[in-house]
Amino acid sequence: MLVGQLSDFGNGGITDHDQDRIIRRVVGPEERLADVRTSGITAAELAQSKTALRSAFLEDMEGGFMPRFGRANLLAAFALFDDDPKRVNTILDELDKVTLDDVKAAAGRWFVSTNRTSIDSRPVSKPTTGGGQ
Amino acid sequence: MNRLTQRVVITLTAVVVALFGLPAGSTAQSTARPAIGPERAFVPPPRVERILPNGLKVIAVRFLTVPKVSVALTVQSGLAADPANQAGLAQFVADVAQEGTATRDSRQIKQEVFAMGASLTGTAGQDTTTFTIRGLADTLPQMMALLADVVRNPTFPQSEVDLIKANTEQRLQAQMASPQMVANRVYRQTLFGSHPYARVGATPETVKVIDRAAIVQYHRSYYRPNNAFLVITGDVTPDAAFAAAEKVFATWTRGVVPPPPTAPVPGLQGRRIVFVQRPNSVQSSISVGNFTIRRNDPRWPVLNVANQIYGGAFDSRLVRNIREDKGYTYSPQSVFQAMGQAGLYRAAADVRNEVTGATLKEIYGEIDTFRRDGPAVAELDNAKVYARGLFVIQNATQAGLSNTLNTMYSFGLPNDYPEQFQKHVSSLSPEAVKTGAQMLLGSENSVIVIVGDYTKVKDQLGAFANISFVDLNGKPIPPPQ
Repeated sequence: MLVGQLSDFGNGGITDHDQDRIIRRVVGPEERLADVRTSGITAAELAQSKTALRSAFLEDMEGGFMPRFGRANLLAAFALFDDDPKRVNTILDELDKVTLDDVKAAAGRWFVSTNRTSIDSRPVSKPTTGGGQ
Repeated sequence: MNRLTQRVVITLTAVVVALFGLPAGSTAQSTARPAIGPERAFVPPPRVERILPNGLKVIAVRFLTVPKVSVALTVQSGLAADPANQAGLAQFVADVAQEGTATRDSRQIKQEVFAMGASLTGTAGQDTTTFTIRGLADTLPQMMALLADVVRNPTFPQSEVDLIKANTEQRLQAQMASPQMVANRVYRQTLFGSHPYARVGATPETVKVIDRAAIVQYHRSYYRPNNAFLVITGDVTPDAAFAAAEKVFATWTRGVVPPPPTAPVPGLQGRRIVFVQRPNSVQSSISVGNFTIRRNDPRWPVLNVANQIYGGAFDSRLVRNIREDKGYTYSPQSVFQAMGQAGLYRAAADVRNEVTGATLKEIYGEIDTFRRDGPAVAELDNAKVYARGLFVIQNATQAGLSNTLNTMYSFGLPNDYPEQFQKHVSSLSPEAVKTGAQMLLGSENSVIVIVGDYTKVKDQLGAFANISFVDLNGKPIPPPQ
């Protein structure tokens, strides 16, 4: 479906070479999503992802839009959506409990072609020189 | 939009409304603004300093906000050390160094950084080049090893040089479409002339000249422990920080480092306009400014407060005048940038063609008023509260404190700079700030750069006798007709 959408670009400005590049770019992520959906991820990938998420969470707790703003924002989000601001203290434990099967199941549910939009934004062929910003 | 993103957007919207008020058309009951609470003094955590036998200065600060660490390795050479025909070389060195070492290729470096939950950057400024790695505290030895490998053992693969050259050419081409980017480049060229600070980075011409040999030579000359310092800030004891640093940097060999190139800062005579012709522009991107003091000048805090009052803060005179009162522009701003050898001041605003001359009149009107009268007492009080409070906020995170220390050691600021900053600001008198304004803001001798369409605005520039013209690349052209 995504590849089929390329024909909608039909403005005459795309060469065969461009088409090939675009197809590769769209199909690459598609294949990776399919991999995760059918095979899941490796234990090493899961461990690395948990480390990266833990680090990002702590960065947010300390900083965010401005220092300490991230902490306030997380408290507000947990209070608003979970009615449980204290979840800010336990969310990392929840993250640690995620298993390989959990990841595969989530990918099977969400990484499906009916659940996303793909946008390919490309510059116009003739740059404009006028106008402000 | 996924659920998490929705949550963040909704929450952010609530916070933005709380911070900046309801959108136009909304109604809300107003209440009296609460008084500002008692000020909290900024007390930085203690820092410990050691110098390794090879000359590398190591500064360690235990700062327990979160279990993470920032490590910043600063080489005391930057863009100013680039050969004149290779502007931007220092950034190339920093970029390509992260793309391959004797034992790691580009992909391995990226994978290691990700696996540690870390971030790695290398940025060349005018006087220095800083590599920063930041991640979880328990990965400090691995982060330090990776940082040292990138800084000490880069192989600068030709394929990566070629790739970054191609990407840089593309980025520069895109920047040509931005009047603000063009204005900044031409402003610096105009102000600094042949001084190394005229060069703010690569240009389409210098990208063609920069090659692997030049990158290797720059690295060999300047990336030396006796021309660098290391700041480690975060959840780590100084002993552990020093041990980690010594393990990977102790065998780094000294070198004879060339002194930073310099040249006299050109004198300014009168109000000079350099007009960058950009046909069919509907706006003029205006820059006005002059030279100021070096960063290590003890008068820096007073000029900083003067800039804040003039145009640096959102309640500044310039914003109140040409944004709030006249409606000429959305985002006027003045920037005070002090560097190792000299500093600059630059007021910038993007305005409609029809108000180009009027904006220049207001910019100079505010300068002349401020130079003549100095600040009002209440205005200065507000500016002091803002400057002191901002300093606390800027140093509330490990990365923020690391930045302050980096500035301190880069420019040789006094050892008690972080402890004394608030007191210094508090002590400023209206008379001192008036003197600071006179030093910061030139009136009769200054540079004006306008990026726009001269044919649409020339009738508004009759007050200026000295106007020269350049194209978007900064090359001289005859007056546009």
